[in-house]
Amino acid sequence: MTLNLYPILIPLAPLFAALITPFPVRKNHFSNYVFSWMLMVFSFLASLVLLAQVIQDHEVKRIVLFSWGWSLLPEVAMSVDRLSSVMLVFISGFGVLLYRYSVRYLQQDSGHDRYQTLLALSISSLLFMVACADLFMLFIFWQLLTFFLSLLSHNYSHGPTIKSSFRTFITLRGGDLMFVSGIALAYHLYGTLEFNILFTRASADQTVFSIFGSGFQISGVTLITFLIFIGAMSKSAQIPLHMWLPDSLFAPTPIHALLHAGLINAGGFLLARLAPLYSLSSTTLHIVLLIGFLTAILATSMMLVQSDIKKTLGYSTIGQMGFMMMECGLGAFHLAIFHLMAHGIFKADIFLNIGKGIQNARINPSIPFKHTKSKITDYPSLISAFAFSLLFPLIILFCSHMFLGIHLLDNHGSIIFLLFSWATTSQAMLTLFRLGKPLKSKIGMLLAISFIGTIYFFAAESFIHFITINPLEVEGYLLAGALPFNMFLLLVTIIVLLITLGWYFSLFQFYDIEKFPLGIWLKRSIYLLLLNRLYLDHISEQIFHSLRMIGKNFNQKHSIFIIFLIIPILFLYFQKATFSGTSLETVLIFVASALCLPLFPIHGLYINVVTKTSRMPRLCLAIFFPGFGFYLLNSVISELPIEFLRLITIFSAMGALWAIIKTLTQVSILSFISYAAVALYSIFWLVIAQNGYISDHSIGYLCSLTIVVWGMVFAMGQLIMRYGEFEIGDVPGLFKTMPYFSFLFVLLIMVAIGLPPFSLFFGYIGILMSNAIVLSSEFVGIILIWFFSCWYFFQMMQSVLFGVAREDILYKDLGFIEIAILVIVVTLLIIPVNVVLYWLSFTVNSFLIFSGISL
Amino acid sequence: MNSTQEEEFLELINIVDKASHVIGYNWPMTYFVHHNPISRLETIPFHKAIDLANHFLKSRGYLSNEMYRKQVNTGRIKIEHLNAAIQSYISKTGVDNSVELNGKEIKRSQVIRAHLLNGITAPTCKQINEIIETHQDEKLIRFISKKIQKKYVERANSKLVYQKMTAAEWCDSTFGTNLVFRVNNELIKWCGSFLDEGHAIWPLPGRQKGFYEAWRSLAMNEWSTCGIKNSKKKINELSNNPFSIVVEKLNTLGVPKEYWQDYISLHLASLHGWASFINWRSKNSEYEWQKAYPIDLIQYLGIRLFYECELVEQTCRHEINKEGNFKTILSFESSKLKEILSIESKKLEDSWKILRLLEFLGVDKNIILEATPIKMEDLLIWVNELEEKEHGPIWLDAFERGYIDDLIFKVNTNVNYIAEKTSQNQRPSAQMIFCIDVRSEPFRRNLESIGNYETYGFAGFFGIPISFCSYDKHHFTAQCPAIIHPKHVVREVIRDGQDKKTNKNENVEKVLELINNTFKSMKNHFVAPFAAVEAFGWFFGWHLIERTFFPGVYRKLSKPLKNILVSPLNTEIMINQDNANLDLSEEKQITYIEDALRTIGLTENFARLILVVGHASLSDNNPYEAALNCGACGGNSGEPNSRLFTKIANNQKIRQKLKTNGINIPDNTRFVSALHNTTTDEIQIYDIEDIPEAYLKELNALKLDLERAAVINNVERCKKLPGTNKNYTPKQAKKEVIRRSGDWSETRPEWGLSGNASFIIGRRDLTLNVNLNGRTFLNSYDYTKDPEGAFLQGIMMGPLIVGQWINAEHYFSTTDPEIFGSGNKIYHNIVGNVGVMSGPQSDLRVGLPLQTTTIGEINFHEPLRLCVFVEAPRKIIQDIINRQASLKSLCQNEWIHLFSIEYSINTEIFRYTAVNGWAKIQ
Repeated sequence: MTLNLYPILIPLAPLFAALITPFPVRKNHFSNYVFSWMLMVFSFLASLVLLAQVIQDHEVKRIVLFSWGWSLLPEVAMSVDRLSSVMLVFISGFGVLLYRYSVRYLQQDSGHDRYQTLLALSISSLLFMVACADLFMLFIFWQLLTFFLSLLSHNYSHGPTIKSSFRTFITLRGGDLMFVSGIALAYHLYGTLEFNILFTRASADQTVFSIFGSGFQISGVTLITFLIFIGAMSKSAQIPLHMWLPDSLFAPTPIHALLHAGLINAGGFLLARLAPLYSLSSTTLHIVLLIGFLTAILATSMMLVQSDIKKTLGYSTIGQMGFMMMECGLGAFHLAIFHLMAHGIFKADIFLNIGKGIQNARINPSIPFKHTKSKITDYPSLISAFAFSLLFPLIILFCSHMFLGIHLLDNHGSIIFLLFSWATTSQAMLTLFRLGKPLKSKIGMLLAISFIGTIYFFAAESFIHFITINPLEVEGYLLAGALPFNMFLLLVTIIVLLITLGWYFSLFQFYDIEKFPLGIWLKRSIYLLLLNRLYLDHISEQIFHSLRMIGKNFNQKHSIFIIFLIIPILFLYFQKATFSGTSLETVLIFVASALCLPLFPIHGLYINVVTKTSRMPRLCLAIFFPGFGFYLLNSVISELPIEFLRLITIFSAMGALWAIIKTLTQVSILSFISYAAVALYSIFWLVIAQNGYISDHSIGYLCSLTIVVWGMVFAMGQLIMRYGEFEIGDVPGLFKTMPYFSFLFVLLIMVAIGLPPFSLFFGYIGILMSNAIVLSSEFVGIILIWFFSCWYFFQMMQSVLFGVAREDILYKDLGFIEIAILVIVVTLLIIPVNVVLYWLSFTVNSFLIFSGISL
Repeated sequence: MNSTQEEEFLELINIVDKASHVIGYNWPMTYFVHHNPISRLETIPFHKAIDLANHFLKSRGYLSNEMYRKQVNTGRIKIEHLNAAIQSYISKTGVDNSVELNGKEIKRSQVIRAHLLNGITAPTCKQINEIIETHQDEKLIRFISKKIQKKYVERANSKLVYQKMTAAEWCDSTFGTNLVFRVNNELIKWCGSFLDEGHAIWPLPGRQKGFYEAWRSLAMNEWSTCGIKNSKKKINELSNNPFSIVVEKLNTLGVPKEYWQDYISLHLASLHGWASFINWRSKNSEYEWQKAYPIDLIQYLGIRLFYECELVEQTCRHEINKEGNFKTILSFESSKLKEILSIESKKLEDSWKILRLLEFLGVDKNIILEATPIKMEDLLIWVNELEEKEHGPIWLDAFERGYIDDLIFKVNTNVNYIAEKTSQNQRPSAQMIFCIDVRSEPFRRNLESIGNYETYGFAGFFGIPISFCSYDKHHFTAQCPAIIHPKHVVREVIRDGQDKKTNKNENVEKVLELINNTFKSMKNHFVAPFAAVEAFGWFFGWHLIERTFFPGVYRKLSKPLKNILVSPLNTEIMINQDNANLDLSEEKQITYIEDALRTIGLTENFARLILVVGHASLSDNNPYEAALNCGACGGNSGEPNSRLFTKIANNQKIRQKLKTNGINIPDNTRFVSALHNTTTDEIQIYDIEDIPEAYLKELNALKLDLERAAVINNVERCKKLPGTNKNYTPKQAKKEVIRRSGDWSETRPEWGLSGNASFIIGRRDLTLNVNLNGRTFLNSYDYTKDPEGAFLQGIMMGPLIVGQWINAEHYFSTTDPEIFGSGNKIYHNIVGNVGVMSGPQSDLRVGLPLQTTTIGEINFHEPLRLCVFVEAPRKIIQDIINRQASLKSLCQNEWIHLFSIEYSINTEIFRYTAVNGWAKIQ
């Protein structure tokens, strides 16, 4: 490796640290972590060197690591610009800090190794993510973070955690899938995912979609940026996708520092990274602004009523993330980076110091609030105080801006930030007025505030100009974020109103509130609204509940199956489909193939094979059935008429829906897996029905799907051998009692929910990115099935691995041969899909020739 | 309220009070009080109390059997002790008969031992058929199962549904709903907001009207309450008297009155942390927050029962279309088909057990082929009558025997050794009075080994219950054990001649406060914090780095740096206040000093320097910091008490009076106050200004010795702490303990009181030179100077009770870290400045965290009941026990083990039991 490639070591070192942590030199001893920690330090030092280098250069650099023949990702490269190197320093610095903190904090904990490994993995993924030079690689690490985070946010032996960490996962995963839709669209429109080329091509592209054939027009770039923004919303906890963040507070305390200082900033970073793309769509930017603004105000208000420290900090973080998004929405992408770093440091410090609260309360106990509030008598001094605290900050702000030579009124963004700074300073003034007796210290404080304000403006300004070398670029972004004048006026009015409301409330704190008009009513209803977190949790709970009830009803009533069956037939009837010209032999072979490669409504055979047979036949048939079905299908696919293909589409869509509902209501673990598999096989059917032939991608998908289903059937079979037939949730807590099994099972689940670096993910990507699929309704269907497969596979993992281990069961971990088999399965799945694909297409072709002769 | 209502009201109060016995009290964590979580069950025998608590709280009162077996493997529980414990169990439950199998005699005790050591349980019935199919001994098992002729009778469950589960729990288990979870979450929400002591920026409105009213006035405006339909209307219609709600809802649910107590206990146990905190608040009406915002269990129960009742009704209507009350439940239960496991699999289970038993006894399995069914059943009865969950008491007995034997051996050999020594009445270089705390023991031992020092142990508040206000604070702290109330008010004042510094400090503090408040007001707002964080966030970077990477430096430099800003002032303790009631009059001062000195037996042979050493702990970012401080000073530092004691004892007037009372303190004796830092073992000396120059040389020499002792103790301490090298040099050890005291990521700054197991009341000679491993409370007492036993009674009713509380807190936190303890520290979340929850939403955690009691999977603290050794004649002890009912109940119900050490010709040790009285130990 030449010296120029050293930046790749920055994310690789933590990865290596993660890999060596599970192999302790001495159990439960610091020496295990010292070397890993040194690697983290190394990563930090390397990123410092990189930053120093980047400062001297004035152009954006890409470091090409290797190139290959894959059209989606022709070369794997690292982007070394100012933005990424600053982020690298920030994240690796936090890595060093949190790793050191956790080594002591979790000392002697039974899950210490696992925890440190996941921590290092998350940091490594974060580093990879910020260093990527294309959207595809970025997405790979983006979704890995989703998974690591939801593993980390478990408190492994605590009931409610399982539910909340599921919510974390599913919210983030939903965001991921929106993100990947955006990527697929971008690839379809621009033919590349590499940032620089993407930005150039996007600015030249004028594609416009009309939604569902209606008159509503939406430009390509707006749709893409909007979809990607939903991904950013879920990671950065924007309302209404914010609920996972308070839920994730079940995790060990240092995780919050990582989360609130690192992971959650990913959304802001993503937008900053894609700034040139976002600046092409003012519409998206306005949406970003709106969501950010709502999140900022609402979450910070919810913070006010929390009575425990972690939730207080959680909501405060959500609010700050909202502000970060607002900044992005106004086009100040790099100010957002400045904000997320400042906030990260601030929040991490408070979180790590969380235990201090009781000590502080002991040393300085608070006294219950006395309800003898004074009446307002001294109106003149009150008014002068308010006037002063209102006007003086404005003067300071203007002066400091003049001093720094920033043009204030040139763009909307600056004015709005000015308003926020004004709110802050005037709040400080108000406090000064109320508290301070000595004039000297008051003046001193005023000077200090002006000084800090000026420093802050100076720092923020120079930071922005440091990140983007070209000042015109910054101006361009701000212009793109500019609001229509009416909207701008509205926003300013709202902010000013809010600031006034803030004063009104500060006034309440010191004077008798009940005397004010509507005081009690306002106070009670707003308080309740905030205490119940805007009832959002309640609403989502209700939705989940009704979904569950529907699912339950589906499962119990067999007549619904008939309804499911009737819909496609009716459809056919109305389409007046005829199947003349199809030989009976073809139809029979097709039906046989649909029996083996389960297709609704004749998936029952496959289900029975997996659930009812004994162990050995089950294992053999689980791999033989899909293979045989594929072989049969291959021989007849070219002869199937177009109506037939449409029939397949309808049946597989209905089948997917049916299987998903069935899966979610199963109790026996094997039928759970078999229905889950049926839903996933429907994707294959959808794709071939759309294409009319079997594409390489779909073969890749099919292969990896079959292998992973086999692996799960095998793994569960081994559990059944040990503990008898069991229902979901019957044998929990394997994380502690069967570590080898758990590790391998987690890998299988990673495959099943379509996570890289496993081949099912590449199968999905191959399918989604192919031209025939990307703009069709099948695309939505596949994304939905993918989403629900994540849903139930993650639930299955939780039900087996987490929770409290039962005391009446003697647990026994996997033996050597079982481990070996599962390792082989996982290895098969990790081989990049193109290799499998090339190999397969070769064998399949020769097989086809052979079978063609035999038929 | 008319008279019948009033009567009902009083009756309900009585019922709720009785029902609350299982949850006890929970103090706010700001002054962590070590206490027995089930202290109100101390009136019944120990094992029974544990059973009772287990029933309601679903807790565990002993270590798991697996843990005890581990102790056997490590050699901590010796087989001889196990045998003795088994014998004692057998003698209580029958005789040690035996069964003869093919010429081989198998005794009952053997069977029990095999059962204890291996745990003879069969796989659950669901699994057993499948497992046996592949088992090597399949034939044998089937053979035995055919032979068993035993009749299987369903063990009638005497408990009714009301005693077993609440209506909501029944719904959950029958219909798979999550009512309990929902009700709990709702109550956590309201309790958290109501009980908040200054955390929330916007507190719950209307709290001054009390919990129930505050809830009612808000909840009736709630859009949706806990999924109850029409909740607004229903809550609006509720009576404004919580008492009538409780009665009404219990009647609606159809709970018969005689079971109200059990039913309420079940409800309180559901969130026992919050409930026990409310219980504590309601019993402390003087507590400021309680005065301002009253709350009690009846208000809590009113809300809880309202939720339950409505939800149960709703669920029952929905699921089976019947009324939601116990009538429905009982009829549903009786109509439900009882799931009787097949006799066949029961028999299989039993034959499995027999086979396992024979294996563990080391007997050839095949001899069972010739056994008669009756013999087999005998074996079975012995195994089955002692289910795995009933092993605890025997294990505990064996566990305790090991410790007691060891301790008695140590004391015995030492006493013999001391007896050989002729007592030399040489004046010691210095005398020191330490707290009885178990952490004083190693330090005292190490100090005594260095020079001619005499040490004493006395409760760390030095007998003077005071309320103390430090010069820079405005609030008072109660400097005495939680079992008594402070009787006097004492302030710290600034010594004269420091006006300039004082003025400067005041200004600096004002500015600091201003900065703090300004920053807070920017943070706690809904528009202001954004720009503030952006501007100020960066400044936290330094803090973050310093605290993580340089904790030792932080600990060393934080004080000097602070001193530059706020100059340290010389202060002294001011005794006399204006308030005559709380005044510490001269007579009282004399009594306190005299009692103290007489109690510990320091009435003659005074040294020139007498150090009065309080103690405090130093740790960072630790919510349990108060638990590490001096328990005798109410979770505070012992410094004020020590300084007060010294001030009084150095007063010439007092000394004159003492002389007339028979305690002649020489004029050249000087009391000096000091503070022992239990994390780093540093000893800081206070009020040096008052010490005449003549003593300074000696004091310096003493300081050097104290430092030497500290270093020895550091090394000893590091050997026990996890994550340290066992072979530290003194220098490394010192560095390590300083790091621990300042490291914000350290969850075990020190072990604290973990390991405590015994309480020795007696002269130091008894344990001089004996290594007690920091597990013993040492209270000095000389019975020769207390013929009446008056001081002994003081000790036994004061420090001993506190010791038992500490011991019980550790005991139960170890046996059940989730129910009685507060679980893992890494998840803790401080709520309302009063306690911790695990994660964002949970019960208020009680007790000690896992980190205090365990290392990894193994418990560090050995859960043993307190062994009390009193060096005094049996008669005197017996008299005290007879006089003091609470003490009597502790001893007779086996919450503590009581021993007496007597001297006749040899040392003799007697053990007190309720059954046998005083029995001599061989």
